[in-house]
Amino acid sequence: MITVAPQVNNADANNKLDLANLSPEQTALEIKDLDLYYGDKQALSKINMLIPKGEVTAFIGPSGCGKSTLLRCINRMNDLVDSCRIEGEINLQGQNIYDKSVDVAALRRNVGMVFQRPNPFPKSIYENVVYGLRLQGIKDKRKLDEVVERSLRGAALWDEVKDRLHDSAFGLSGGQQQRLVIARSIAIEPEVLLLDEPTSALDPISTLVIEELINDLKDKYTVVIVTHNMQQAARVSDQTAFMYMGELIEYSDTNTLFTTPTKKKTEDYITGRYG
Amino acid sequence: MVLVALLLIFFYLLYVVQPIFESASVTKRTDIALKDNKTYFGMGMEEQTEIAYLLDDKGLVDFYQIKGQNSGDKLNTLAVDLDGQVTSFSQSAPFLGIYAYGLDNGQIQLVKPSFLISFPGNQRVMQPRLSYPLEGVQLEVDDQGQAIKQFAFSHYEDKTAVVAQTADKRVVFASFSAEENMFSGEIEWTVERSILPIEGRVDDMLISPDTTRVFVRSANQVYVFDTRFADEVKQFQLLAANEENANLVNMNLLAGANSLMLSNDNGEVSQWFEVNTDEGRQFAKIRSFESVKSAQVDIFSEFYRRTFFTTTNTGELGLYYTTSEAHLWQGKVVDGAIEKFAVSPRSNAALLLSDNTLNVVELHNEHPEVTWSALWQEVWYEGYPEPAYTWQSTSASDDFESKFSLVPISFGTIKAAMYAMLFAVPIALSAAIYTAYFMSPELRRVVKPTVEIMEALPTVILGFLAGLWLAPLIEEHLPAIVALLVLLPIAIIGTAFGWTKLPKQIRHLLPDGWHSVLLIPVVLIVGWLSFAISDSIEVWMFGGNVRQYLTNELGLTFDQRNSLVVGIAMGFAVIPTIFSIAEDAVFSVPKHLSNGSLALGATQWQTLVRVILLTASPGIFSAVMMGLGRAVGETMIVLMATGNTPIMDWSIFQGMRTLAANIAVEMPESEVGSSHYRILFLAAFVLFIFTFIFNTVAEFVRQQLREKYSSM
Amino acid sequence: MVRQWFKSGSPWIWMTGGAVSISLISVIGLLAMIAWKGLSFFWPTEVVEFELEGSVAKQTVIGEIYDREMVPKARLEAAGYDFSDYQDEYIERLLVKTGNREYVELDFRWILTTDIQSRTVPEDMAVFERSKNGNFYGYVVRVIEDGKVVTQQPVERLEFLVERAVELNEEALDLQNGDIGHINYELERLRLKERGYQLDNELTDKVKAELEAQRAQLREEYKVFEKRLFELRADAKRDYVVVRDMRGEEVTLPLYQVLDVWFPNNMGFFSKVGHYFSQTGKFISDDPREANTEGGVFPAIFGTVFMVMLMAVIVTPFGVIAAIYLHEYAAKNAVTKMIRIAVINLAGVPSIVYGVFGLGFFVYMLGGSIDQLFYPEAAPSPVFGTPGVIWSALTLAILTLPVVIVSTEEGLSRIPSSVRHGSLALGATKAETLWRIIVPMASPAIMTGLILAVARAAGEVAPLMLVGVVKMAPTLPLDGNFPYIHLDRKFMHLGFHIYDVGFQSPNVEAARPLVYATAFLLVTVIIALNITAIGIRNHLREKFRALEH
Repeated sequence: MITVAPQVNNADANNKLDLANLSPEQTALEIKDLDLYYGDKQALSKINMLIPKGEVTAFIGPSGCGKSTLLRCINRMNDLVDSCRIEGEINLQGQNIYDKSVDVAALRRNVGMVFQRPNPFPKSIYENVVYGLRLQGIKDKRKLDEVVERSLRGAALWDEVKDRLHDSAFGLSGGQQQRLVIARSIAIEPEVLLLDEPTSALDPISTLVIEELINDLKDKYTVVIVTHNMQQAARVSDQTAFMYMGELIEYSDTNTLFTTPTKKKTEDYITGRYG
Repeated sequence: MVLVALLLIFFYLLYVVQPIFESASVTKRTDIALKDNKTYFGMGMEEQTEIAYLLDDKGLVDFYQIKGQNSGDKLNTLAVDLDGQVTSFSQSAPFLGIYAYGLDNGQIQLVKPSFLISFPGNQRVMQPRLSYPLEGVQLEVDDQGQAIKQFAFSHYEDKTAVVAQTADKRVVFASFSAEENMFSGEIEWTVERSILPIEGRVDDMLISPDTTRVFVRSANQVYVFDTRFADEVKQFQLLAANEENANLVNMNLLAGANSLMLSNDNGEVSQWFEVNTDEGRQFAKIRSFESVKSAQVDIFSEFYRRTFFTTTNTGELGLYYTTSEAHLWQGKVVDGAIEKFAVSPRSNAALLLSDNTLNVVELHNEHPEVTWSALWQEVWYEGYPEPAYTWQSTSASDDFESKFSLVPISFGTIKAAMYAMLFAVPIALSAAIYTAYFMSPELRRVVKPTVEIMEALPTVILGFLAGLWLAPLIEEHLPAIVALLVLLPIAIIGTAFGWTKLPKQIRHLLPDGWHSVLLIPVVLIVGWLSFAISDSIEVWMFGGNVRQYLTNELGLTFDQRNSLVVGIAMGFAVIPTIFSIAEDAVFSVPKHLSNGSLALGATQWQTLVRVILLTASPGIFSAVMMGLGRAVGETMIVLMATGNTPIMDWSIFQGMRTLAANIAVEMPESEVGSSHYRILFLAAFVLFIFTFIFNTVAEFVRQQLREKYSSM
Repeated sequence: MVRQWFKSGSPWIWMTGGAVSISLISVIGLLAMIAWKGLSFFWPTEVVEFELEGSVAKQTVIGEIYDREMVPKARLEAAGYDFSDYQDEYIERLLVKTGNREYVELDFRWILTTDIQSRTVPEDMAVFERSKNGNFYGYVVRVIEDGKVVTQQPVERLEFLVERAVELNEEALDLQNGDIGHINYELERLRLKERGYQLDNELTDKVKAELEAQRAQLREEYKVFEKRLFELRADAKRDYVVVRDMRGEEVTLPLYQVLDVWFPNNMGFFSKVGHYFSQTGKFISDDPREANTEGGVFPAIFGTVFMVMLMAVIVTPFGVIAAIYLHEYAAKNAVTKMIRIAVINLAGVPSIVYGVFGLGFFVYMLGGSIDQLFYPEAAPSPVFGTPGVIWSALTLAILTLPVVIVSTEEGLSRIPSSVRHGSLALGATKAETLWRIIVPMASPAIMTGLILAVARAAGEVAPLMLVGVVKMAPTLPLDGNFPYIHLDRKFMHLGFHIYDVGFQSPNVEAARPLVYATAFLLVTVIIALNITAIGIRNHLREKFRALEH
């Protein structure tokens, strides 16, 4: 039970964004009146939010609040669930990703995702990283080598694996595997990177490394992270959204949310009354 | 895809089987108004049913085209060589295709219409001809030269027999046989004549195609003569053959000539054949068929099968099959009386002569011998003393009466499966229970795959061992098997009890769950012992020869390849199936259930019986069902380990024939599209349905069980 | 005490344990027996010479001891022998293989040990393996090479001459089956071609002349080969060996009928081992002789392997696609449930039913239609409308379909969904994910299924009896004549070979060791396949278990 309000990342505190009225240039994603049902059960209701470009946005909330579901909506991973039905819009660069004309595969190339558990493919480290490129039909060895180095460096893994690129990815530790998965995702240069509790299966040291990596990533990508660890949200994110029972309760910059929450539920949660 | 495969198999089998249950039908092809208005004595047609021929009262044969665009054309008229005036006419059994004129000089002339087939320009052309089976031989039936008023004849191989009534009312039997003179090489004809003692008028005469029986009907009586030896003709029997309150109107022989068909004026047609009675072989009435009540019911038989036709003077035609007791078709085909009737060689068409018009009808009657009752009920076959379940599908001759009762082979299937289950279920289930519940995990990891690998062992090898190794072994050492059954449980319990008496230090050497390993030497020693004492038991109790003892003292016949061998071998084949599924079912009973019971102070065994087995019982049931499914469909073991005789006897010392083995034995020899072929498909279909039901039930139970476990 | 012990239930536990022991003993005992009987067949056994007198007239018997058993004296006495001199209840008797089939009534006979006056193991006893009439036992009297008696080292010379005759025979056989067989095949093709032209009404005089010219050329070639063949045969017939048999008579054996000669009583251990392996090798690589009761099983091995491979080629894509559809695409509804039950049922349908289906549907319906469409010139003799290797492969493919499906599906279900999601999240389509990630990961499972299917198919006999297997196939389904692979041919199969030789052959006693050897071969292959499959599966399970954490 955490009873003390967590430390907040104050670095960007002075250039606060007006999250309700972001200009289109500042917006990476616009979620509009989003409802989601699993069969008869409504899992998300009327979610409205704007996610700013080039920043880290965290979703927090108790288990089953719909934060992961919302995240998975952003690259339409929920399509894989048979009984799932979605109403409303999510706009990426002004284009509704639930429009019929959207190519889901292309969308997912633009919106990468990293899961709770590291899920490397049963291939070599090298092949894991270039998998997305190979899907696009890129065969040029020089280009691939270059991307591998850049992505692994980007995921802070290069120095650890550069001598064994062609070994199986299963030989890596859990934290390394997770960074490999991140490297795999950024190899195809997405605009948005979704992280679904990326450190929940990792030890504290690996977690720290990943958190540092997230900080670096936001220079290039818009990062959306789901976490049930409030300290982590406070440490790595610029904006935080608190969700409860499928609803977006409060959404503001991280500092504000953790220090002066406006809603009772938010306060109860961050002070550890439930969750 | 799988569903498609399964449905394909299902519907294809059904598709092949289905025609045997189709009823017969008769459709009209054409009516031909005959060119001349004269009296015809007989008619017939060739195999392709393209040309019909009619034999008239003057010895002229008219040929008519009855198929194709020239249908109705009179093709030709040929005259039979006759030495005298025609006084009578007769025809042979249909399959011989011979006709004969009786003459006023006491002779008869045999004639056979035939067709010369040629292929000019790849077109089939048939040229009608007349041939004479006894070219150049004068058949002088009556040596007194009296006119022949009525006669019947048969010309079979080198023998010709005639029974005739002459103008002066004598009934003469004459037999002509040809023999080659050993020295000159000339054919010499010998004639034997005798007068048959008939009292009263003569209505009908018949002679069996093989010339061994002569039938003469006089009003309601039928004289049967034994004419096997022409110089010694004997009266065989005198039948009072009419139905109650009815009079006989006609008679004919069924194909195969074992059955005599008699029609009565009340419309009943009765079938008679010889059966063994206390007074030797006697004709007896077997069954009767209802026809139309009519003054004149004529009977005609097919070439080879046991179909017969009835025609009436009211234009009604009826189709019957004797073996299956089926009345296949009945209907009015012409308005007037049917004067003459002839069926085509392939039984696919018939000619009816009525009012100087030749009516050609097509017969669709592919599988008259198969009916539900013929397959599954007792049938009285020709020559059998009583109705029986018999499977005897083929024989050398064409006019063999096929016996298609599925009962004996279904019985064999059940018997084989039962003995196999008797052997397999106790061992497989006990072993499964022990392996799943008592055995130590290390041992289980070895034992389970070892037993399961048996499932992969080809059954042909098990069958071969059963037939060539086990069967002689059991025959030699029958007492050993019995001894094994008795000694093994005693030895196991004895060992167990002895074990409890051993000092603790020794007992602790063997960890829990290793009983089986300890018992291996015990089982081996008992096995060895049983075989070692087998001979002594044989000498001591059975006078040195068990087989003789069984036969003489107990009246049991002993086949070397018997149900015991099948039971053991096939039991062996199904043990892995039952073991594997039952073991899974017992093993996956959640541990907290047994722990709960044990915590209440129940012993291991009590927990097993009261909790584990109860919970796992659907799985065990499913295992037994799967095993049964496998035993029912197993082919090679039964094929090799039994004598494959389709008998119905529960005796453990006799063999059986199963559905699967029957298919394997007979399928390669059956003619495509024949009734036999389709019945074998039916057997396969029955097997398919059997196993389908077993497997579906078993699988359904298993899925239920899985859901139950997951909710625990 | 005892009662309480019974009440505790532990005797029943022991009983169930006993059932396990019985199962284990039968499994292992069975395999051991097949192995022992199958393997010991090739070991050169000593040939014993017996002098008999007693219940039989005085005579000499030479042969290998095959079996021995104890017979109760009473039974023999019942058969009319007098054993009042002997005290024992039992009398031992030996089954002796005497060979020399054409000179004695039975090549196997029982002799009573009480009749044996003397028993020797002569060192110079020779065993001749012959291409006709089985083995011959006797003493070499003289060797005749090209009409002259060999005087120096006749035994060594004999071995050399036998080898020479064998080589000549082989050459002649190669010529007959290879070149001459090819010519016959070509002639038959020409005949069919002519008939084809005739049916199309294109058989002009020109065509006729052309065909005739080709025929004449083939006949010319044939004459050359035929001449060579006769030369070889005549050459092989040159030498003889004169042998004294157990009747004491001298018998002349032409060497072209002798396949091998050895002196088992004079062999050291290593030469026995050598002989053993050469016999085993011959068993695997030779054609069968004398209604399959002698010689090797090469065509049966070849037929089995060929058919099974053909089947694997057919079943793999269907099975894998079906499994992928079931696991990846099929919605979880009643139809899917029905399909699953259908899979189980398909696995449970008796194999003979597949045979019946294959015969009716594939052979008569499909094959008959193919014949009508493509081979009208061969009528009335069927090409595909008769049982053949392709139909056997197809029938067994349906039979083994469930095995592949179940195994593949199990493999698919063991792949963690996170891996799929990972690929999808990188923008791969479902098909790309399947093709690049799922199928490669499931490939060991597919392999397992395939191996199990192959093992099942290799041991299945009942359906094959209906759809294509024969006891003796004159040609292999694969040879040097165009189109090289003959899918319409009938073939031989190890399982059917066992059935046929064990149950349909005229001399079961003589053939029995051969059947054991064949059975051993089949069992070894099938069990090895199964163990491999189980090994792969276990390895796979471990691997994926690691992946899940």
